[in-house]
Amino acid sequence: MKNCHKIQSLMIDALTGEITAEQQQLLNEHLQTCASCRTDYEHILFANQFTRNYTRPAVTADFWQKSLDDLQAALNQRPKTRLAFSLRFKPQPAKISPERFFKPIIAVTALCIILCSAFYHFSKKPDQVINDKTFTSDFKNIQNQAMRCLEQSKLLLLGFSNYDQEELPPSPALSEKQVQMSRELITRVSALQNDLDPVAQKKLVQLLSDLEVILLQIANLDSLHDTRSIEIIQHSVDRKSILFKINMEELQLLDEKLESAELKTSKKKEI
Amino acid sequence: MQTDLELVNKARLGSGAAFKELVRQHQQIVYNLAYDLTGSREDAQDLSQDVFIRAFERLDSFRGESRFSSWLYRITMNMWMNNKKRKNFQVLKMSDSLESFSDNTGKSYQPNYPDNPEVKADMAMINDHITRAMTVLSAKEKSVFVLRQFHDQGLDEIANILGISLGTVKSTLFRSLKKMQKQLSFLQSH
Ligand SMILES: [Zn+2]
Repeated sequence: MKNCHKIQSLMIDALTGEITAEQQQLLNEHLQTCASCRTDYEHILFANQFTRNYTRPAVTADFWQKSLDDLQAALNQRPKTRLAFSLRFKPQPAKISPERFFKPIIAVTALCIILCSAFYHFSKKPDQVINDKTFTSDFKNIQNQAMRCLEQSKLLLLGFSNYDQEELPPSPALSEKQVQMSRELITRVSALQNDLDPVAQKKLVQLLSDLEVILLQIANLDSLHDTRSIEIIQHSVDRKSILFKINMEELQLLDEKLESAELKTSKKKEI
Repeated sequence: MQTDLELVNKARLGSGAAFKELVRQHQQIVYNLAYDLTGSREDAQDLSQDVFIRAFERLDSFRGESRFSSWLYRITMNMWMNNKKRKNFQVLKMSDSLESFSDNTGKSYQPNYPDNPEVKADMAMINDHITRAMTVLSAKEKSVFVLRQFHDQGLDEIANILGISLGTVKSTLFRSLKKMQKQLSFLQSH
């Protein structure tokens, strides 16, 4: 009988399927000789089986959203909220369905355009970028928003990673405007991730996600002259090839935009 | 799809959207556990909201060593137990439609249902039997029992969530199943 306590542990192992063949044999042998454990085992098997029928009352369709809203309200009331903390609630993410026609021609056209625009922007100084006030204007659709966001981020990161360590002033430093801009971008970038189709726009969503981390790092810098942290951020920009990916995605978005424009004009012509 | 850790890191840096996504992905398991423990919708709603507020405040302490869900389970358990200690609130709110019995003593509960297969088959009734029987479990027994039976957590994971040894998880589960059987034995057919 002194063995019985150990056997109870084996019963639980058997019940949860976490038992070896030898242990199972040990259990079986004991159960054949010990009536008390046999009864116990029968009882816990029944309880285990029966309580599996447990169900919870169904909740209404809007229950989860409502809970989320309540939580948001509760969190917003709290004094300690961090810089970008603004929970955004949108009923349904709008889906972009890229329609693909005329692809080869458009791709070439787009390539030309992006090269030109890249050339144009590379010739700009970072400070000009920051002064761009069109940031807050409204855009017709998500694609435009995404493009605008990528463009802004690219210019921010370009200006930021172009700091030459050898040049004077010796330490890389960020301007208030750049930090401010990264904060504005975070809001847009995180909203866009919800608005985009996670499957069709998978690469773009991933890029925005990587971008968001970098922007958050910039926004959260304790000091604008924190050389070490700034270097880390620059490093992660390089490591993730963020600028290259932004260029690729911009190309893709431009591609889609031109396609739909092309579609519209061709439809008009048909009419 | 972003991993929980990616989302946590973003939320930690101040991304509200990332935190919202974490809540969205886990609000169901947290609410369900809260409901299983409290047995009441309102209490479950209150508890799960408190859990996420706590999680938000303590996000820095999540290091990704355990699953994020386990971390939330642990917070839920701790807050439930603390609430219980503080308010000693009634664990289960009974529906009035059923026969009266004195709960929380365990011993005196003996419903008068006829041994009718139709009645037995009724899901709501079964549920009622289960939730009533659970009132005899101690807080610790209930925690282990609920995580194992209703949340399909493995024994190791339960040990991790509750911060107790594997041996204790097994003996506690054994004890709670025996107690449950005793409460439900009138339904056991022979
Ligand atoms: Zn025995």
